[in-house]
Amino acid sequence: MRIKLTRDPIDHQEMVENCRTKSTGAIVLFLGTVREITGNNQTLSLEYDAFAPLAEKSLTEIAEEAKSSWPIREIEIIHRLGTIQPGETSIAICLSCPHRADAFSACQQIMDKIKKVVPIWKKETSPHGVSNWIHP
Amino acid sequence: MIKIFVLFFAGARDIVGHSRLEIEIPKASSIGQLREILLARFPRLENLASRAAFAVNESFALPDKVLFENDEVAFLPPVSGG
Repeated sequence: MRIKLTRDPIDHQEMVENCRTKSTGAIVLFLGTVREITGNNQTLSLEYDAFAPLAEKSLTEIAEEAKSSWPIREIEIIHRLGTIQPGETSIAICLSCPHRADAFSACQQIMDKIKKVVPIWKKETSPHGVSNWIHP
Repeated sequence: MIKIFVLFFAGARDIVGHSRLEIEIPKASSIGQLREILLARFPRLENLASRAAFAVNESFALPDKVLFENDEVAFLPPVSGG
């Protein structure tokens, strides 16, 4: 299991290889990427900030909880911090299970949980230099 | 009175103007009472404070948790990671 916050680009290919095992028949990789256009709004960049010690602890708990609910053999979650551009990866979740149904649902539930509880925030910068922290 | 530290993030940090603040609160105050103290000092926190989560010494904590000298409380506005 690997849980990481990083200011460097996320190498998802390495994550896939780390999750590849002979006892599993499914690897699911989710990448959250920065969307440039949402409705009529343009995003120039996103800046991510975290309460790092608690964010890492919280991601670890979510991964452990998922491992007790699904037959996950390997799991890695990496979240990017700092300023990132449209098209870049902000979060990657990779996990392997014996069968695909478990792998898909585990990945989806993990992502949903992360968006609800992990203390990470993004600031959106739009054209004309307007920046706003997003607090849904 | 006891001395504690409060950490602010994202929009809350912008409103307060500090990422870490030392403040004095009455002995045996809870997180809920700390929230009222913060609101009195920073009224613009109201929108975030009503929806914020809290952590004490890097663990999530509920509003009834009582605070002690030198505790480090994190004020966590609604999250937007992912």
